Amino acid sequence: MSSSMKVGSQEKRTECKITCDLEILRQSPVFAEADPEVLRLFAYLATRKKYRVGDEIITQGKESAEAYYLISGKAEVTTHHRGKEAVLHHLHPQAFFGELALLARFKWFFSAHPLEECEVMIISRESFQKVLEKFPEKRDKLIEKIVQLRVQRLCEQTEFMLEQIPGSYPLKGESTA
Amino acid sequence: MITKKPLFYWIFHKYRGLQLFLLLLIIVSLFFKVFPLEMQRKIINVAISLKKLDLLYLYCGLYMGAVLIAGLLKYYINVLQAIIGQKILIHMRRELYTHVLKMPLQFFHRTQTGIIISAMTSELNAIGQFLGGAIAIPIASFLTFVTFLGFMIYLNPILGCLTILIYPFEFIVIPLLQKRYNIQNRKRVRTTRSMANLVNESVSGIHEVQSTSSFQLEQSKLDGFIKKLYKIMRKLFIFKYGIKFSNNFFQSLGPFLLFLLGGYLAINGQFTIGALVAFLSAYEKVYDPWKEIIEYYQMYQDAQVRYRQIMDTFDMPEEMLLDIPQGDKPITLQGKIEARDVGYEINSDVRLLEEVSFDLEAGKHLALIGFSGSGKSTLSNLVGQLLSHTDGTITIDGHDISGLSKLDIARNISTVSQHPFIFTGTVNDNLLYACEALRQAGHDVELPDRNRVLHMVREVGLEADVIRWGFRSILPSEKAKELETKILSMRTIVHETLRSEFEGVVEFYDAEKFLEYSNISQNIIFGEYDTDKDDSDYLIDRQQFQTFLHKQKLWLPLIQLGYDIAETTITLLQDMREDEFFFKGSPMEQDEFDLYEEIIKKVGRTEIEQLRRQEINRLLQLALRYKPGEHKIFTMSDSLRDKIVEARHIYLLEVEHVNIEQCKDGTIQRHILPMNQQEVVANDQQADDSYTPLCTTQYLYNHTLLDNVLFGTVIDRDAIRTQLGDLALKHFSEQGLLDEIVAIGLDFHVGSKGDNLSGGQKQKIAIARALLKQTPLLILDEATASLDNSSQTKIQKYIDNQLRGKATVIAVVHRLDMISGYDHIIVMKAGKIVESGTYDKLLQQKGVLYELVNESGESGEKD
Repeated sequence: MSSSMKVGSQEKRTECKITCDLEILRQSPVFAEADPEVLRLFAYLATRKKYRVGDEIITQGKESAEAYYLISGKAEVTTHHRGKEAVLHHLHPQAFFGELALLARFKWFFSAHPLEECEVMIISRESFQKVLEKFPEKRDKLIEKIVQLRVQRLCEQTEFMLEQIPGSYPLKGESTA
Repeated sequence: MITKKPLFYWIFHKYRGLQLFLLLLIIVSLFFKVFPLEMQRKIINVAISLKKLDLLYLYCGLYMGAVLIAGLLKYYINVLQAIIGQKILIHMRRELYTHVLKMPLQFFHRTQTGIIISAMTSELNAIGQFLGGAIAIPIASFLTFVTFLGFMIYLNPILGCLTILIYPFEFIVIPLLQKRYNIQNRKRVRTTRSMANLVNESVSGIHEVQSTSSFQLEQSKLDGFIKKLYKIMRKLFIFKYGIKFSNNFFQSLGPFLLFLLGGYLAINGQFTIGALVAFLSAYEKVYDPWKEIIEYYQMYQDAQVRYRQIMDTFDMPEEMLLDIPQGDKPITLQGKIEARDVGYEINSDVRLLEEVSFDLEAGKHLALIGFSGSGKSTLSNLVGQLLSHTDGTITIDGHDISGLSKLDIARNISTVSQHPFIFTGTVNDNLLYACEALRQAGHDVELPDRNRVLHMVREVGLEADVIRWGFRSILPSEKAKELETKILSMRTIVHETLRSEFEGVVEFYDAEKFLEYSNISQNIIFGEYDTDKDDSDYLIDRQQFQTFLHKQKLWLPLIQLGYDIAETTITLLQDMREDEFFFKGSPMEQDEFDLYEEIIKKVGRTEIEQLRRQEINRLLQLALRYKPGEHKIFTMSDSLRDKIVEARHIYLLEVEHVNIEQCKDGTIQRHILPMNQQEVVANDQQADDSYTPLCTTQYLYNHTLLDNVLFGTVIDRDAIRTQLGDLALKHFSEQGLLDEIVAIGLDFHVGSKGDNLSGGQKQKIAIARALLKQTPLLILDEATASLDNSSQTKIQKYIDNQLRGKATVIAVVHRLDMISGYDHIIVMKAGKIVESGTYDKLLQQKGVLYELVNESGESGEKD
């Protein structure tokens, strides 16, 4: 994580901040249907960070605290397996990942590395929970969205994994004994 | 024992000479109290009736002189009395504190901290007021009383005796009321203590209270005590003022009798007017000592109640032998330990330890392992004499441990517990605590020198933390001047050698660029003033700065910026104003919300100039505090950015007379424009305000070391903390620049009970503190439990390599991969030893240890 946003460069971002982040959040699957009022607060509390190749966005084994939204660049999700790093997934712009961190504390069970320079928007669990404390009625809907996203991700990953190893997994009805 | 001593022990045994002197003074002052009365009589009976002016002047002069002397004496007596009280209190408090510190640990488990604190502080204070006059007041008051009565009887025996008649009534009524008062007072002390306890508890547990949001619960607990206290206080005051009332009543009864009888006698010519006046005065005066006696009686009762309650709290014998018995020399042990059938029992039926026996040669290392509750910590505490075994014997080099004094133990044994205590003070104070304690106790120990301390800091893995503390501190200017060159060469390393790595993580100060991560005031003044005030506060108060803003046409845009920020913050955070968390992204602070809301509601954006000057300044302040890169609440226009950078150059040149171009070659000078100079000094009262520009060749005295080294603002803290920090440190230490920083870091203030430290840091300090004492015996009770793996390994290595053969070590270990280096291993279960032997032998046996080791191996890295 040696580098983040460039300073003083004439990026257009200086012109919008909350408004830009609000637009981005609106396009994400989890927040798409949330109230503008809630969304605005999330946009206000979200931060941005840039990563270079060689940095780690998420490090497996570390305490989780934030969820990420990939604004630009590509990244991959990997996990340790028998001393090697197995690739689970590729992330493209507009991918929302690490969303479980918004709901609970745990140690990351995967890592995320940038494949090229990436810009990421970060929402911390603290801000997520603080906002929902004020809008308890919105909580259920958001949690449902996060779980749905997670389930969808799980299905994709399972399929991805199974496709990598055709034929070598047991089929229904076959005995493994 | 101190707690058995009666209250008057202190009074009779301390400062007797001073108290006697006080009594003497009081007796002398008596004369000057009676003398004016006699003068009154003389003035009326002699001077006035004989119409002799010279006598009148004489008597009046004498009267005045006596009154003056009496007044001065009274003043001196009061002061002396208070001083004596405080002196006695010093003894009382010191002796009591010594007693408290030496009480057995069980006492502290049982007694709540709040009780001890309030007993030692406020309750003792109240007694102090009583102590000073404890002997002198009653004797003096009694004498005064008798003297005035005597004078009255001398004037007129019948009237005098009549006056005395009133007092017996008071002797019955007042003690009766007082007794009731005392009962309530005792209740008050108890309730106040419980209340102090509750407050202490919720303050200590504030983490829990705030995280569970148990405000209501805690409030209701306190409410109970508040109500109870109210009821007690109500009764208390009823009795207190009851006493006062009866006093006053009897008091005013006196003149009634006097006028009736004295008047009758005077009319009949049996009594002179002068005598009547003197008599009346004397009667009034009699009341003073009487009042003093009553007050004394109340104070005495009050002090007695408090005193007994304090002493009862601490009424428990000191358990251990504290000092080395007279004549004996301090023992220096080798560290050979023998334990025979050791048992430990609490409440005479719960057995925590049974029939534990082992031998440990001096210099050998023993690991105690087992499940929690197996008694391994208890055993280690018994060896460290923190607990006293109830069965069997423990000897060290043949000395029975129960016979060793605390001082012998402290000289020879260091203990590190799982949750070590860190005292308020600096890191260094805490590291030297154990050594300093021995030194103060009169031992010939030398304090370890800086190099040894630094060495130990390195060995326990605390160096990185100490360096970080060092960088976080703002140096006092003398110290800074000493180190300036070194700091500036570190700055050069960061800015030249490591520039590409740091770019993007730190926003370097650059006169040509708008600083996104510095606030607007920094962006304009581009430097620091030697002031304790916040930049924006300081600038707003400076007329010169305001004029500058007007002249540069920046004033209105900034006020508008402040207005916009305030308005956006108030709109967005309207419902969140209770929670400080949401104010991170705005220059407004949570407690300012209402204030700014009021300003915004008052006027629209176009009518800002109608606001009062003070309100405008508040808006200006918000703008000056605004950091565009950090405060997401608002986005500033690029044109304003450019305008500010432009104004900055003018500010540097015209206001502070600094040519920032010159600072690039290392030749920074002030007052470069001589043509303006005279005019400037005339206009500016604060010309001598020691301004330092943000210039690569200048040390910034109001900034932290880190700010000075980086010469910029940190954007990505994580990156600095991890890779980049290490990288820079490597370069610094190659240049020999780091030792000073470590030394500065050792002076870091740990906060109350070490609140500024993490659990791991506290633990490392405690380990270093124990190791610095260099005792032949070291007891580690899960001492590394809260450290990360690499620190644990590092410290274990130090123990294995550096202490082997030098110190006997007993360690309670919870990580089984750490025990292979120990000479002997004892596995405990339910207070008993189940296995004992070398690591290899126990593994070969395939017993409990074998199972434990394999289990933990299977469960992988989790432990």
